[in-house]
Amino acid sequence: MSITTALQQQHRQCDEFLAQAESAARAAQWGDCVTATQVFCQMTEAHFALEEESLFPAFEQATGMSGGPTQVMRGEHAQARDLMQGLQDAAQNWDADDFIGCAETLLILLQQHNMKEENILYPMCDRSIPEFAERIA
Amino acid sequence: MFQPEFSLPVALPLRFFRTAPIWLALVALLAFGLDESDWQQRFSPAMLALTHLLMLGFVGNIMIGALLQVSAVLAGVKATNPVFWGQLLWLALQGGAALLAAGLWHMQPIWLQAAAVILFTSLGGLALWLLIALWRSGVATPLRWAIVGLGLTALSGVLLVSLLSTGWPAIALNDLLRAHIALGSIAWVVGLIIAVAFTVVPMFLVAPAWPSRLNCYLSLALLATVLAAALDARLLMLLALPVLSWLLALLKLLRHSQRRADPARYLWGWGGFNLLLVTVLIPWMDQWSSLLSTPSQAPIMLAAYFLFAGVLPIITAMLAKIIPFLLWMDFRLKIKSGGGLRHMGQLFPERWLKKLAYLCFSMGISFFPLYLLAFKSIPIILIIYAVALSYCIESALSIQNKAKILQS
Repeated sequence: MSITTALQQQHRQCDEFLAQAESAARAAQWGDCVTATQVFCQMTEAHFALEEESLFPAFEQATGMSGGPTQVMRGEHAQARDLMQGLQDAAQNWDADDFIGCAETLLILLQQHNMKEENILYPMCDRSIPEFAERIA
Repeated sequence: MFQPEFSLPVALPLRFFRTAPIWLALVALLAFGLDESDWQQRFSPAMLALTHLLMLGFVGNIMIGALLQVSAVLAGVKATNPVFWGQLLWLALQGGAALLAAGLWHMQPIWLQAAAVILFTSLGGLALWLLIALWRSGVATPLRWAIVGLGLTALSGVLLVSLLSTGWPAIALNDLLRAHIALGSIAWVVGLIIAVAFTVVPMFLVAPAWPSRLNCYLSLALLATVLAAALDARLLMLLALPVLSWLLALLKLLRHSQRRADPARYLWGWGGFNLLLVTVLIPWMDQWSSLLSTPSQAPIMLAAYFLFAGVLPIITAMLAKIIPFLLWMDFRLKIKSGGGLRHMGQLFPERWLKKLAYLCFSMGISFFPLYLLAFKSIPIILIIYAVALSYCIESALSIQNKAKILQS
């Protein structure tokens, strides 16, 4: 399995949990919402950690591109983390408006972020560090 | 691909979006003064003036704002001095719309000619510049055909003014008029809605991507059908085919959207359905208008339904996502993390969109009975919608400004 395919799957799984959490918040099922939010945040954090601690350094080392796309992605991860914190706070406080606002912004941010990774960065990784695919298979 | 960092200065599209509801409110105020015969005759000077104020002032401002934003985001198309050129375009659109409406209302050829020159130079120039830039960028194909629609609408408009005031060119007035209406409403407005939907629906409603063939060929097919219908009225019935293809794909995407309770989802579906309904009814207008006690009302009913039940819900769904996201991104580009503005819901809460959506549904559902039985009440609904939309846009902007001031 290529880097693109494996990490694309992780994106889809994260999207599903975020959508589940948002649906639960809309239905005021706060127990489900808190659980789905926790799973989503843990999965997303693990995905970000894999990229920031392993994938991006390997890519930067192989290509010498340390200030390019990986820096942009790190910046967007920071924005997503802010929103994930907001999501968790809103779920704990049972604040539907705040939760929906955070979830919507995060979904849109992640959609455009994921598109950039899946269409540009991951294919570049597949070409420059193909051996990395074994580590995430 | 959606790349918000390539966005224009946010003030530029916002200038167009903020102006649009003012024109709608003005149309509503002027419509209070119309008498019953004005409401029944599509070619009465007052009705012609109001139609152009609606299409240029209200819809035009929103569509040009969206076009500039989408072109920048999808293809990185930006003028070297976007704020200056954007302001000039904004001024030309407002001036041209006002002059055209005044010229039609008072039937003053010189005002019409001046308006035609201003609008053709500005909108035609914009279309040409965008087409060249998009051609060079090699992306955003669906957008190109909508822009061709805009250019041809401006061209047919200037020819209409010329024909009416000088008798040149020697084209049958009805044929030129049909071409102008079809190009303006379907090739330009619906064409741009379709092009925007290709980006906005998957992104904001977290739905699957559009089928690639539709993405490549639908906008071109729509433009080709409109051109065919402009040449021969019998081909108007073909218009429903591209719109139907789009609606079926849209409904499939909406069914798979992961944001199922989002009001924008219903607005897209409702608007798309009504656009199709209008394209199905157009070719049979003579048949069903004979059922009315005043058959001359039929074209006005259909045009107004196209606008209020087809275009308006989609515009509402677009603006309610695009404006807060642009403002939030603009804030985030300045303040990378933290700050008082955590998410776009603080700028444009979903309950605002719900209220706007109820207004849109009410307008669409009640339009035919109101037009036939209580036409005087239509401007009241238009004013309520215009004030509500303006309130949402201005509030979002004010919240963002306050957050920026607090942060600095």
